[in-house]
Amino acid sequence: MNIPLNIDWQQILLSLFNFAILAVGLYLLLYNPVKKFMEERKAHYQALEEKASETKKLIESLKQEYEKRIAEAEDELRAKRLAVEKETREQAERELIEAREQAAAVLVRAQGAAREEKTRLLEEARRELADIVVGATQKLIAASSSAETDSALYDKFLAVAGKGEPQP
Amino acid sequence: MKTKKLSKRAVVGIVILMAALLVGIFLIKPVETGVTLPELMRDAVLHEEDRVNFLGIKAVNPALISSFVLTAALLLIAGALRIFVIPKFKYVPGKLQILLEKLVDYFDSLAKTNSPHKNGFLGAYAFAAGVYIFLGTLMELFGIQVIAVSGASVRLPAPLADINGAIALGCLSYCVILSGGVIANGTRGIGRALKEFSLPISMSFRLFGALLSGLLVTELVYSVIFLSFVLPVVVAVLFTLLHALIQTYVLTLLTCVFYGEVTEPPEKKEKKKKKRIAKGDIEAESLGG
Repeated sequence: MNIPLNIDWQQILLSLFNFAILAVGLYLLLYNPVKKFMEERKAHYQALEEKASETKKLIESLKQEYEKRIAEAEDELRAKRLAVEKETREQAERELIEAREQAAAVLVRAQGAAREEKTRLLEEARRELADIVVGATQKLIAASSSAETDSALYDKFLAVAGKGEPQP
Repeated sequence: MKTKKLSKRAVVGIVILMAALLVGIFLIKPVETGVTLPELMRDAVLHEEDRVNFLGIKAVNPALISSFVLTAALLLIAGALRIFVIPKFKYVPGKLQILLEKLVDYFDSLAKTNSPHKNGFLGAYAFAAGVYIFLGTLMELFGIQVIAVSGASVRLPAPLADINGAIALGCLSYCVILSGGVIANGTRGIGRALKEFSLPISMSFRLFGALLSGLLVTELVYSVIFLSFVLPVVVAVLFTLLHALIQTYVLTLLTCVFYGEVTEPPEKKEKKKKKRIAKGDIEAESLGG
């Protein structure tokens, strides 16, 4: 049968055979290996991504735990600081009171000592003054007494005593 | 300084050579083949005169030889790539790796996007068909010569510029669609594929017509001597590249779209039942109202 347009069944079948060889060859040599490699790479990067997301989750949980611990530590630190501050304040107050007491005692002692010193100094001054007065008196007496004055005085005394008049 | 002088000399030499060639072209008398333009074009379509001996078995159209040459060349290249390039593929790809991956990925995603069901084989088929059509069309540019049975020298055309080659690929694409329908939906799939009974004819003749028109336009341009300068750079290279791309895209896309249609799973009966019940309710209400 003469088919128009020079259509030839044998050539069509030969073309089909040729294309089938080409398709199978390209599939085995190029398409499949390249696709496999691409899938392998995709799986590799997916695994990496999953690992990264897991690590991220782990990091986030660690971060949360860390933040929680930090918060706890801060609370603890704050409480300790408050306790220390309180203790320090109390200690300071105690020491202040003690110091005040000590100061008061020192003051009392000092006052006592000062008083004693004053008394002692007054005593000493009195004694010295008495000594000075006695010395001066003695000197005065020594300067004013002589045999004539003594006898005059003695005479005067006798005269007064003889009259029976009281002494002025 | 020396390199500048050398480059100047090279340019002058090339200009003189081109001028000499131009003079030679116009001085030499063209060989009278005794073939008129209509005869030339008829032969480009029907290949009645320029048949080539195929392995001593049969005289065939030169496009069939083209297809076998192309297959051999492609398989050689693919084999070389498989042995020397693919084992050295890296996770961070180089230029050739990117090209190969893009090529495979393009046809794979074309198959997956247009045919979401049972598309494992379709991507590989689209890849082979696409490479065959694109590189086969580019064969026009190489102008490989073979000796015809008549003893004349014949330029190997694109494999699909032959009606037999185009029918083969068109019918094979239809068979792929049909087989996809059978695998996915059984007899329903056959029915769906047979509904598109004109598909093998349209696919075949679309390919044949598109590629033949390119060939005929090129033949026409070359038949006029003053159009044989400069213009073929545009006509032969750009047009060939353009229609190679277009035909590759069209055939692979059409195959994937029709494959997607016939492999689409049928709607569930329950939904239809529910629809019927709902429809019945509405009708009953309207009657009651």
